[in-house]
Amino acid sequence: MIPQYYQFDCPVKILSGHKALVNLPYEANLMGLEKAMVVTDPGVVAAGLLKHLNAAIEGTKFKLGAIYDKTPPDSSNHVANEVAEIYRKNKCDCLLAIGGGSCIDTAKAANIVISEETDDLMKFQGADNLTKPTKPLIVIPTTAGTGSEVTLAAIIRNVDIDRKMPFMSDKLYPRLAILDPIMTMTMPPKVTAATGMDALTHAIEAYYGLQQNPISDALALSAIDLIFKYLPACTEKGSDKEARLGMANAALIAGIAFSNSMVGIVHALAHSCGGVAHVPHGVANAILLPYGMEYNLKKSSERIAALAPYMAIKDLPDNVNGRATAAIQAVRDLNKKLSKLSGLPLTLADAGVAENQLMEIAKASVNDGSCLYNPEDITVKSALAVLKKAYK
Amino acid sequence: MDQWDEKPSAAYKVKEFYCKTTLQALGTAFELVSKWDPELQDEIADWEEDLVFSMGILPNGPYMTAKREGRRVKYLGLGEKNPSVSILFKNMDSALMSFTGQIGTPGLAAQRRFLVKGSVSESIKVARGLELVQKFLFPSIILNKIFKNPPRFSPAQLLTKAKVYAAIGPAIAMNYSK
Repeated sequence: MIPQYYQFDCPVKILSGHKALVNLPYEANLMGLEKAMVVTDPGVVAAGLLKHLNAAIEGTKFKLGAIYDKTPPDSSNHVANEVAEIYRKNKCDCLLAIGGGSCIDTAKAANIVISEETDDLMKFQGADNLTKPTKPLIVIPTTAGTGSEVTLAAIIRNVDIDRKMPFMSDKLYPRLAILDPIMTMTMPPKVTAATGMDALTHAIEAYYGLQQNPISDALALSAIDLIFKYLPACTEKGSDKEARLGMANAALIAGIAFSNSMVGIVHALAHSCGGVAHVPHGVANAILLPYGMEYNLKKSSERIAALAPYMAIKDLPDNVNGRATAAIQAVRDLNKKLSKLSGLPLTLADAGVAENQLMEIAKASVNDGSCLYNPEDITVKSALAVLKKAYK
Repeated sequence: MDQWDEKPSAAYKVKEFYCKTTLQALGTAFELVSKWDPELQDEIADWEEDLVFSMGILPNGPYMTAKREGRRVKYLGLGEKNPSVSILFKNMDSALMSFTGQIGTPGLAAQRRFLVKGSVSESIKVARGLELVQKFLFPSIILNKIFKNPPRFSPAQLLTKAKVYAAIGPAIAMNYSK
């Protein structure tokens, strides 16, 4: 069905493929950039990934003005302020995020602090609240899941109230995203599986969400196809370059899809699982996804059924309900396969959630912006029911 | 045409007047429903203490502002009066779609017809409160179209709806000068 009205945007230039990283200095030169502030994390440094960056820029005019390598998994407004301070002190002219979602979102948040000349990031939470042009941001993802390299959003924890806050603005889009499989090869199997399921959740929720549109639909289906094809392969064998590149593309494509059509109940619950019980985002999404699809089955059976042909299902049922049920089962089967390969938890209990935290998670979830875009209405009672199903 | 006529047309003035009146009615209805409906009172109890929120239309209004007082809402009047949360329609026609019952909050969000300033979670709570107010303002035929699920009314809520219909006219008149 064509929506009565929709918007679509993705102004990010994308370089994808083997040896994509070596084109960084050329692209930086095109943008008139010479001195980057790198935002990365200890894992990226320990995996030796910065050596690929150094090799790519060697002998060129493009220099690294400063490196911030302490980004924590759940980045905060304080970290953003710290990065902004280093950026200013070293007179850099762009930000270069190398890492997963937290590094990319930290760079986006620091960009707000720098560009708005503020030390109070939280004033800019919500949608369309940035007033000044931002600095150019280049992103080199080292995980394949968040899609943050092509989204207008950043999620940052406000340490003062211990809650994650969303920031959304056209001004937060990166200028350039570089997908080079060499940067994701060292990702451990469990992280590969969890981040890959995050991408699958983006694609599926984007497809049946209220803000879906024909462009995001096409992207979501393409991402689902790639994920079912490549996620088990690169979880099993991390050095599989084709599978790594396939997943990097799947995550990016799903990122463009959900950036334009938003997400739903699975993300609302996963955000709160992260906030309350510190469950990694991808793990929470993986566990909750089949239950979220079931929750929306009544209102979105045709949309969920339409996913089935892209999920490597052998004998496709020929009716809507059968296909929708098969699609949900395919997600469960994928979770089980990934769990065997990587130890990905299959229940919230296994992910470290205490049963007495479920009510707190449910209460926080209904105040998440994602609820607005979910086809079915979400109340504390219904959110709790979904959480209980996913608990054991 | 040599020159763009910057004077607002009669049609624009009518739309503006309708939106202004509806915002007054919404603020007043919020006050009334929060006095009588326990469901809305429970919702308000979860809001930030003394939360001031406004609703309005970009770029130049009109706006209305209201405030949490305990388990109730007090309508502060037209205009933006230092709100900590604002729900802003991007233009007059988007506001009209909402104010004439053509589209509900989920539809407005899906079509990106409004934005929020301030805490997102508090805005979601206020939007949920506004939906509860709409439940007492619009007839079922509209509610079934704009809500994700048709709202249910307890006998007490049906009585409240009748009370709101009876009281809203005089209450708007009382609030007119605010």
